[in-house]
Amino acid sequence: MIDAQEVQGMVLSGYARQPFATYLFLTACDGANVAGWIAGIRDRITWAGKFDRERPTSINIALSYKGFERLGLGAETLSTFPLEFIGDMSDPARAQMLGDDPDTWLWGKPDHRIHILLILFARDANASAQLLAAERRLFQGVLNEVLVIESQTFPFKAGSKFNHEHFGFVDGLSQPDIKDYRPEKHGANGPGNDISAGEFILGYPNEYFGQITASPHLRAPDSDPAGILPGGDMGRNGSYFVVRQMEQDVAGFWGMIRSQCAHPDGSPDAAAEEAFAAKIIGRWRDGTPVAISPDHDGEDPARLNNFGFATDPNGNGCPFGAHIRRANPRETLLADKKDSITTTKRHRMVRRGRPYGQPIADRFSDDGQSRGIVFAALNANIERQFEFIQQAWISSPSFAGLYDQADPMLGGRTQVAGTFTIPKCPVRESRTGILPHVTVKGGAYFFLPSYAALRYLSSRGA
Amino acid sequence: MKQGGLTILSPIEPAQIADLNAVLREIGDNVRKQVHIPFRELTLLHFASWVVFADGAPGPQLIFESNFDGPPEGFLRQLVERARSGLDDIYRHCVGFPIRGSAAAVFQYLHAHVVYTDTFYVSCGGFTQTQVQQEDELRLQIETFLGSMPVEKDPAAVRRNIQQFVESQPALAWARQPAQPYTFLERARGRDVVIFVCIVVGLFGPLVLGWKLWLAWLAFLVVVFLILLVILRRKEETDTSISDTPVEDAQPGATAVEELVSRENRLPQNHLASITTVKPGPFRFVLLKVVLAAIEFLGRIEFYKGSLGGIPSIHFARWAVINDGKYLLFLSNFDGSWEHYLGEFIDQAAGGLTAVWSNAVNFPRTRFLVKGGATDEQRFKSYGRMAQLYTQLWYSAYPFLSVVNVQNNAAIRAQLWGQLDGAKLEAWLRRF
Repeated sequence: MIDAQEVQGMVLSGYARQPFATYLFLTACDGANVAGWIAGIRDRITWAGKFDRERPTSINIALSYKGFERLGLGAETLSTFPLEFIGDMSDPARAQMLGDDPDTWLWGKPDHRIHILLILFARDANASAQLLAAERRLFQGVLNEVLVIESQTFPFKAGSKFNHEHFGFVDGLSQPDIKDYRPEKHGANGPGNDISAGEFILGYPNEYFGQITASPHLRAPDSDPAGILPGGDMGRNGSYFVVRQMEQDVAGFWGMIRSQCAHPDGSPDAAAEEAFAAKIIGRWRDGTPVAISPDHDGEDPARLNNFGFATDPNGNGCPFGAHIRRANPRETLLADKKDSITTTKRHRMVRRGRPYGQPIADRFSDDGQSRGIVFAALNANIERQFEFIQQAWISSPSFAGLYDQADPMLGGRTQVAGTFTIPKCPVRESRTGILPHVTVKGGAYFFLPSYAALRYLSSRGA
Repeated sequence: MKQGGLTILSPIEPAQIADLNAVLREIGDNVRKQVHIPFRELTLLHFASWVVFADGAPGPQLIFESNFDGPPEGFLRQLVERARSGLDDIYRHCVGFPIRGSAAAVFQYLHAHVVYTDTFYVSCGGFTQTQVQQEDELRLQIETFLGSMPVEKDPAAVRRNIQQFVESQPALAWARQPAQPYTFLERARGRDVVIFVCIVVGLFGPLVLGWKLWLAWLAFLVVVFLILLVILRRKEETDTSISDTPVEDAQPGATAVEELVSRENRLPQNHLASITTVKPGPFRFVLLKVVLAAIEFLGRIEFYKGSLGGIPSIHFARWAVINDGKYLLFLSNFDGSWEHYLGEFIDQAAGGLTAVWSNAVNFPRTRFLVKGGATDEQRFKSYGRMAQLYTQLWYSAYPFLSVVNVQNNAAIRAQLWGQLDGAKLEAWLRRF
């Protein structure tokens, strides 16, 4: 059983009832008592064990490696963090692997790393503003604000329980079910979606034969005289938290779709645009997977994550290079269905991304506003989950037997021509000029500590 | 045509190691544009690497890996003829290299430093380098043609159009004939027969003494086997192993990994060089040699068709027990990232790899040679990084093609002519 009292709320819930979120990217002020501030905020944080459905706001906190370092942990303890967390997303070698160019980033560059990410969620704009003002007062003089990203989710349609991202597609549908956590709430999403808790929360069995993923531990000279951390395990009940600010050029994306689909006389073909965009994403705008409904949207919401690609082995419904087929190949990664499920289950993430910026009024005309998504994903092993998906599936030029292509929405490391293959009978259609309209503006690796870990970290300052 | 692989180990003048490193890095940093070695003129070569093994025995060694078409002498001759000045630039730092010698002397030098490769694995057995390049060109030309072809609903008509297009291209004349088959005789080795005869005689030979004595002989063999198994199990329980270290502390050094990763993911393919220490004593040495010979045999007879026991992403790989049995060298040229590669090892082929590295010092704890080991995911990966050598210079003749791509291109050509209909025709058209 998951010790939910110890786990931060956002690990186990997407806070669907709180459409407002504020991401505060913070660094510690010189000489400030950060441990004291943590002692204060600890009990204001939303813990998964005591959800009050009527609460107006939620708070979660994440620390980067630099944040842990700033809290004064010894080098021996810090060295028990995994190398990718120590090096961070902007490390040159990792950037090369991820296809990033941190020189162009707004935040998270190697010499300007964030220490703390504070996320404030709220039911409405008023509660959001009040919470932000209150928390700002409390960290004043302790933490500097490097960047604030205000986020609001937008329902796909009035009354819809799904939200859309700025290109207009329902987002966040493919989500793993955490084995043994509220199984009654799991959809019928098949055995490939039932993932061990240890893939997302440290201290629990993972998908490799129930092994326990490495967790940061106290090492001498750091000590824990009060016995707050059993076994000196600082990571238990915590999660690694990958954050990337991804700017979306909505008019650019839809302009590309329009020019790809125009009638011979140059006039737009609205139906063809919808169908072509659906092939690129792998879903219609309402979330209907093209693998099960190649010709139209409107699928039963219960089936939006309850499907596979085995019924579409040739990609005639969902192209092999479509975004959702790359991001989660489900049971068709390898020749054998069972092997595919075993392998894909070892590379999944819980996604908690939210959009920032206001929706565009006309998706074909650029309004100069910046908008995008705060990609946020939880995993237990960044290298084996986030980084793996990014390089082995999303940006792999030969994914699923393709040649020299990358994710049509996110792009890749080596792609230049922007080729996208749409399997068809009698022969495939090959498009070129399908270039990414998503740009990474910053990113970092964080850790969402448990209650005990925050208690320990704040006790050290006393 | 059969592919070959030479492993050439040269002692480095200890004082020259930094200069050698610099030369190799300079070539390796820009392998397509450098002028030292005209790789494109080495038409027999698929993959090559030069790696410095600084802690070699008795002193630092330069490891030269080559994967090529045809017999070793043919490749070495081409190499010396076309890349002499590059060889001079590299080997001037090695002991005994005939820097001002004749071509024959350089050939002799390289030939004399060849070491035995225990397991040489080729995923696309029989495909020459020229053929791999040509077949990709064929596909690209057909892809371009399809882009200009008027919309056509009938699969048979699409195929006819493709055939007519290829026939109309003089540059694709070679594609009108099928590729050379890769025959069983080419794949077989004389020693297979010798080993087969030894096994048959060893098992059934005593039958000439009567069936009772034969049963006694079999019983004796079973007892010997069980004794060896007990010895193995005892060793597995007591050998030192990374498994005894908490996983958080079993990490490789940050600086070393940083350097390794900085060399990776520049291309869709990657290279891995690794050296582990063989566990001391004759038991492990013999066991390792037997396991490597068995994998060599399976690779040659069965896994030459694009996949090594379920792993479809290794182009060429090899194991060699070097320096009088002290070290196990592993070299691999593969598709995708390191993390993906090791993940595939664990997911698809843990048993075979465990059987090999079980005989190397500090490997994750194994049971019955093939169980455990690589399935200890995190320690296996840590172990892999700790054993990895920095690849200074690596060349791939077709860095943008995966094994699956190469096989697909070959299948396009193989079925380009003749009668194809129904599902087979549709499947062929899906290859574009």
